[in-house]
Amino acid sequence: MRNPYLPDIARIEKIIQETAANDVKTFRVTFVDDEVRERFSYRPGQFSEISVFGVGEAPISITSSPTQKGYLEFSVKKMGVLTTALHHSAEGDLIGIRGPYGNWFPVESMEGKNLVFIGGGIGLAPLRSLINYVLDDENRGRFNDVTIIYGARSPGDLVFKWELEKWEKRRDIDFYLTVDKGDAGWSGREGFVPTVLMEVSPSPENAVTITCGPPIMIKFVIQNLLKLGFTPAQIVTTLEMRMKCGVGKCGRCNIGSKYVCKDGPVFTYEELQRMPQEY
Amino acid sequence: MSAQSPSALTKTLREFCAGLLDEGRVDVVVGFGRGTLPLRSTPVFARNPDDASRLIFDATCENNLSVFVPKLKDKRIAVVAKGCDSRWLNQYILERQTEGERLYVIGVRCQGVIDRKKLDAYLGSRRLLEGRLEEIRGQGECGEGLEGEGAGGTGGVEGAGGVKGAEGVEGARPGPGVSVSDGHIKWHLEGNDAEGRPWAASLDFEDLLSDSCKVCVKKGPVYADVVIGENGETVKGNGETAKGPEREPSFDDVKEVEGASIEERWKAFRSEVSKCIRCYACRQACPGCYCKECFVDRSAPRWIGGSDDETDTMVFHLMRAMHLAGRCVDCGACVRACPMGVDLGLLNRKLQKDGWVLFHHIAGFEREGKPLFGTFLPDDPNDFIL
Amino acid sequence: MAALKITKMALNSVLALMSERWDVFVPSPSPAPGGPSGFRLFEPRPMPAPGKPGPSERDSSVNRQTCDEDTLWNGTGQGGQKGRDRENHLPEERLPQFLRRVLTVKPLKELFFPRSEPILGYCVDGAFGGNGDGTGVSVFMPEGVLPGKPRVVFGARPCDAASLTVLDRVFADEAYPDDFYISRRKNTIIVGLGCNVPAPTCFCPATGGDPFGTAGLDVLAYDLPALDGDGSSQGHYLMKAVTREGEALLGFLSEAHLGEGPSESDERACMALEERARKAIAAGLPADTQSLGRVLGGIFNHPYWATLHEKCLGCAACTYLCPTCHCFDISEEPDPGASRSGGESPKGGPERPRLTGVRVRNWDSCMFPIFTLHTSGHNPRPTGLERVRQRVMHKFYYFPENFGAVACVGCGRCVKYCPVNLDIREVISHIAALGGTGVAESISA
Ligand SMILES: Cc1cc2nc3c(=O)[nH]c(=O)nc-3n(C[C@H](O)[C@H](O)[C@H](O)COP(=O)(O)OP(=O)(O)OC[C@H]3O[C@@H](n4cnc5c(N)ncnc54)[C@H](O)[C@@H]3O)c2cc1C
Ligand code: SF4
Ligand code: SF4
Ligand code: SF4
Ligand code: SF4
Ligand code: SF4
Ligand code: FES
Repeated sequence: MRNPYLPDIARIEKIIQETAANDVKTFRVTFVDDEVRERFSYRPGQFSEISVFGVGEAPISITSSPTQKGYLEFSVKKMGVLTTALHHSAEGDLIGIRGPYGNWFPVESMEGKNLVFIGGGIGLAPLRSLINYVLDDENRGRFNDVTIIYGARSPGDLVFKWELEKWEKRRDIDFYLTVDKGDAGWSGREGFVPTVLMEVSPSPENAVTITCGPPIMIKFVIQNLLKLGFTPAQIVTTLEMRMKCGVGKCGRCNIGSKYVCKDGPVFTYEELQRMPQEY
Repeated sequence: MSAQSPSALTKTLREFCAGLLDEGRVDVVVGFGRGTLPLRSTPVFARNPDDASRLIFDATCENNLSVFVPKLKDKRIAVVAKGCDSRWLNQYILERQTEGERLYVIGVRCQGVIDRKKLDAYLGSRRLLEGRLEEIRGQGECGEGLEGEGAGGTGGVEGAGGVKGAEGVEGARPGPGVSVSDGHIKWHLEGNDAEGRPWAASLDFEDLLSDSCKVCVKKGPVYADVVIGENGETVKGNGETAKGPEREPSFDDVKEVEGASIEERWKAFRSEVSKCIRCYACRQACPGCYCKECFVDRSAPRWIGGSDDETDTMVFHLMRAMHLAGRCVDCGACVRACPMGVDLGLLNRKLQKDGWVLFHHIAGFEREGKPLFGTFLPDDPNDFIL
Repeated sequence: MAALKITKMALNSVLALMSERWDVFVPSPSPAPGGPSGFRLFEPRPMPAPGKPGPSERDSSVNRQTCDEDTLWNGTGQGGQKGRDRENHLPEERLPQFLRRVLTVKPLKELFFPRSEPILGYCVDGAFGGNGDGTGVSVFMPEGVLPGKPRVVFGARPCDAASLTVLDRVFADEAYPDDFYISRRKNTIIVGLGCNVPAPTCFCPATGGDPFGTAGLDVLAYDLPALDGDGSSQGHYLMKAVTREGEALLGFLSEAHLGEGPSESDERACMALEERARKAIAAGLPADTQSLGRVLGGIFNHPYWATLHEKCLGCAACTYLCPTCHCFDISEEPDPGASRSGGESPKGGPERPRLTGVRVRNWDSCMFPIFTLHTSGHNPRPTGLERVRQRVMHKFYYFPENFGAVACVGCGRCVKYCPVNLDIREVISHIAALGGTGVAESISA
């Protein structure tokens, strides 16, 4: 019996509080069944449907990188029923995971290119999977320069701070961290991500840019990227729609004839331009 | 009897609405137009005088058009309103869902409307190709065909038609029109049977009449700006037309059920509910179901499950009935909208009866004051409200 | 066995015989398994003693059909309402009569993709997250979901059968095959019934179908009217095999001597029925839907949608009753008393509650606002305009793009049951006309 809706059981190994308001938590999970752990292979950009039994399911990006073996990580913002229940769970609790679903970042076509990552808020989650994949010792040589621009509304809203520190220290990354508005303890950059992008002004030459964040940020980032000379095909982003099945059957996540769960969530801006503005 | 007819009503309606739109007194007229199937009408939104030529009114006009009022963005809205439609307009004002000044009520005198499921039940395997109302008086006289108006449609694109069953019969039929105030009205039906042989039949008006229309307490509008009579005459409503019910409500159907044992009632309710597929056509057709988020759609807290589980479906219907207690005007729009033939009327009518017996209340006759469930007397013998 | 002719009077015996080997489903208005006004399990009855005519045989006058319908309705004395109730208790002997009604209210898809079905069950100790040591949670297939016994459907209309070939593309895809659907498809033999007299709402030819189309069918039956001197008071069913499974079914029946091979005149009668039906239905067809996508691709922002949606109430009558609509919701149904919403996960403590429940998939509809509502409150399809457009675009543009077929079989259910008479045939013709006027080109340019 092939039941595409049947999740595998995974154990929450570790919960990391990400934001000051505690509305984002990262969950490190491992499959209870060794065989599943072996079988579950994914690429950066894909997502899973996460189950909390008795509560429901929600699509969540896999934020860990396939190079990090043995576990998966998900960063979840507390929004509604499921995400709240997940926030209430404890280390050791069991959840359900099915997937991986969707397409992935076009890693192969990025080889030999300069990569520009532009993230906002929890939008860093899907980017992080690709960033860590690229930064992995085995892979780093396949890619050229790596630039990361990441921002959030306030210092308290920055996610993965424990990892940002490591990125900041690396010599092989141009890393720009910014917040819309700093606080007393903030000595870093202030300014909106799209503005910082113009300051950094990456060259479109032999480059691919990958952006993810709040819709309003993405809108201005894309405008500015075009100003900098990036072509729509060089701009890669991810989309969100309400989802249920994750496998192209329940019919709700489509934008035009594209199903975000199957044909997405990763799209180039060139593809988006050909799709109806209904997202 | 005068030689006037529903067509006379329709004619006046079109002229009047064209005038309203032409003079810019309203931005839209919400009315009925001829539908694409025999004995079917469809809502029409007329925004210019030409659109008004698509308006009709007759016993096929089954929807409660007031349901569109909260959704429309137009500044001034005219609504072609039967008695029950006008009562929901009043209820909207009472419940502060719209302002009285925004509405222009074009009241129409109604004789009751068709229940298509009764027609279907009658038809069985017969196909209906044509239907109209006829007045039978003495020997073989027949009235003007309802289908005589030609094909309706949503318009907008010329020559797009070609829809079977929409054509009707071209041109007016001979003989005097249908007046419902006297004479004997029949549904005239024609079509072919399962072997392709033509058949024709004539049914009594009552046979296909909606159940709610059989117990209607007010066939004329309440608070209309103008009333167009069945003979096409217009009476300025002055906003104050014919208040109050025309007759005492009768609740024989409810009493019959109340007489049954609890087990029997439970069984009957279950069997009704078992037909429901939770398509929510009833909810969507009801002017009273305007909640921004219906309790069935709420996820936090969740009230009922999403499956076809019997208890969930029962809870949906019971809660909906309770939400409409003291508000339901018994227009029957929900019953007619239901594709599965669920008889929703009885629950609603039971609550209406309680409203009437306990508080002498019938919904939709007042534009001011408090809704029944918003009313409380300090000397109420029950203290649970406090 | 390629073809078999049975008398209508023998239908009960035929179905009863089939019931020994298969679960047999027939169209019915009765509130039985399969639901009201849809398809239900046929319940074999003891056959009438030989020589004693069954009730449906008593009247052999010419206009039997009409008389029968009249007695059904009038016999109750109370008009339509009561007539409806009475009809719910239609005896099996009336099946041939009932089969002459064109379509059930609920579509055939219900037997393959039911209104609600559990897709998994779960059992969780510790109320929610297991025992804290990696044990205590299990997921499993709920029992009794999949049909055990193979099934036969008798009397599906060609459009309903064709709808399964549409649904196959969604549920039986290579990437994520859905065995809930597939296993039912595999174990069901469908005997269709051609449409001698299409209903006024039928438009299958505009979607590539036909009143005697065989897509999705294993057997196609012809309803041959009674002829003078043919020894039947009600006529015959001539069943022609379409697939090997269909052949096997007919072989099984002929072994039981329940029918005979068709004669040449039967073949001619079939042809005549087909021709007559095609002619009748051709009279009122909307534009052909198979090239509609080309127009739709260019009119996403056309003002037409604004006028079209205005009368739509946003219910699910059109989509739930549509045989090709496949959208669903997945909802969590914890067993009563065990549900926990939020709250901290109980750690330790003497009592560990146990949570059981099922996850259910339910029909859902793109006509509901909540269908696409994001948790943030943002809704990509915020008004009726976007939602009606989605329904039309999906059927005639997106689906053909993705799966190479229009997602409409022209059954006309949505035409008949839409509470505001939003007639998809009109929509089809209007859109085709928009294409004809060159609007599509100018908009997309
Ligand atoms: C591809 C993708 C990747 C994503 N990645 C991330 C990520 O990495 N991190 C993150 O935080 N967020 C992510 N999201 C967003 C996340 O999926 C939503 O925030 C989440 O689904 C909200 O679920 P909830 O149960 O908390 O919200 P709710 O609004 O309570 O519920 C939404 C879900 O609950 C159910 N539901 C609620 N109400 C109803 C109803 N009335 N009827 C039926 N069902 C109902 C449904 O299952 C629905 O999908 C992603 C989304 C997508 C599409
Ligand atoms: S519940 Fe039904 S009868 Fe009552 S007002 Fe609403 S639609 Fe009319
Ligand atoms: S319209 Fe009928 S089937 Fe649909 S939800 Fe209402 S009662 Fe149920
Ligand atoms: S088109 Fe008709 S049936 Fe469909 S949602 Fe709108 S009102 Fe309901
Ligand atoms: S869209 Fe309408 S006509 Fe077409 S298959 Fe669905 S219900 Fe039938
Ligand atoms: S649409 Fe075609 S196949 Fe379906 S019932 Fe009508 S005539 Fe038969
Ligand atoms: S989530 Fe079901 S189709 Fe995309």
